[in-house]
Amino acid sequence: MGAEVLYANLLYIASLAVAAAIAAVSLYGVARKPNMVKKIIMLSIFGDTANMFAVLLGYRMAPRNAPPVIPVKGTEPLVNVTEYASIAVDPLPQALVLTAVVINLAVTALMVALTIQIYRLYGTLESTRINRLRG
Amino acid sequence: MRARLLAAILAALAVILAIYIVAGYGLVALSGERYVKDWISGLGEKYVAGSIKDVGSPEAVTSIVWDYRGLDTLFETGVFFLAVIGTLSLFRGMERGGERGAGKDAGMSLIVKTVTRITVFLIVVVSASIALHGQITPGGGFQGGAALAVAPLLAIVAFGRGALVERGVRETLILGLRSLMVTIIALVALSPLLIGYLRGAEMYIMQNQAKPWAPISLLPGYAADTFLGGTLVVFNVAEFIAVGAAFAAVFLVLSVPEERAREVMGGGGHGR
Repeated sequence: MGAEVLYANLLYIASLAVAAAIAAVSLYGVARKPNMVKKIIMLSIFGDTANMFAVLLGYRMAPRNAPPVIPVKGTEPLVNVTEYASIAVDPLPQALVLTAVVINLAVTALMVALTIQIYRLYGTLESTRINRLRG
Repeated sequence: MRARLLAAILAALAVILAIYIVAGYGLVALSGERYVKDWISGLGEKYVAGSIKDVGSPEAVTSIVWDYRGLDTLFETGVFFLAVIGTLSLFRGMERGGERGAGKDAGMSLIVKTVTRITVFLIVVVSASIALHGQITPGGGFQGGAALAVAPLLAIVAFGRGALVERGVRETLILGLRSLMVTIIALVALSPLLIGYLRGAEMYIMQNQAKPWAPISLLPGYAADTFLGGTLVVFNVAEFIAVGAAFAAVFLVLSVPEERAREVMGGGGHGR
């Protein structure tokens, strides 16, 4: 039992730390890279990392864990619902993440469209040069 | 200079977060006696335990999306369609382009076209299955819609934009479908207020099953031998078509030929 638990614990903490590290790198990219396309890539990586972080926080480590879908046959639950809730992972972060993923996609499409228009109008994607343009 | 300061602050925040995580879980983790995350929030457990009774669906995630936290999803749908409308309005006036070069020779080779026909058919079937079983198995309108969005993207690449426009796949048609589905979502969300007013009972926005304080169910939670989840099915199907159509419209305007875009932006009453 001991070694297995230790391994799972370290893996979980490492996942959280990796999520924090990716978030830091992607925010650095958004702030410091002048190219608009790189900014968009970094921002979408940041969004996905935030989603991964939310799902990790809803995870439940246990000898027996289960998805938040109650096994049923017809309309009869096959398990004791209250007992099942005590081994299931958290459905709330999953529900929030699944809408966030689709909205991320739409917002990324909006940013890409804006960037295409900026390129057509100014002929450049360097934010430092776009800042200096007038008109 | 300001950007460098911002980057430094963000990096410091990430380090603090990492220290917080390791300190919070570290001691428990190294003892190896119990799992550091063997619990979830009580709210999550309540949702799983109550899903069948409150919503009429064994799938707790879909129950949260369209019932327990239905208002969240309603406004997230609003954010989503605002972003899509923003994209479309950036390209307004360009959607009439792209018919040139249509016909049998447009697009990629015959092999790619044949494979794409099969794949697009499969994508539509699978995404419809994801959306329609949303109240029983993992899946739902958002997931199915995101899967469906791949189909127009593939078709545009393989057949060319002109071929699709020639066969009647137009932005106006797609946008009409999308608007219809969003209207259905809004009407079903608001209809409990009207029903409650007409029948003199207490009801609330996005109500699904009967509650002790709001005694009328909008739609049945069960039919013969399957879960229906009440309004879950309606919301899932409407959101599925709306998300798929919205992305199809976005991909169609993003694939407008460059010459046509520059033509519109250069004058003619549109663009700048």
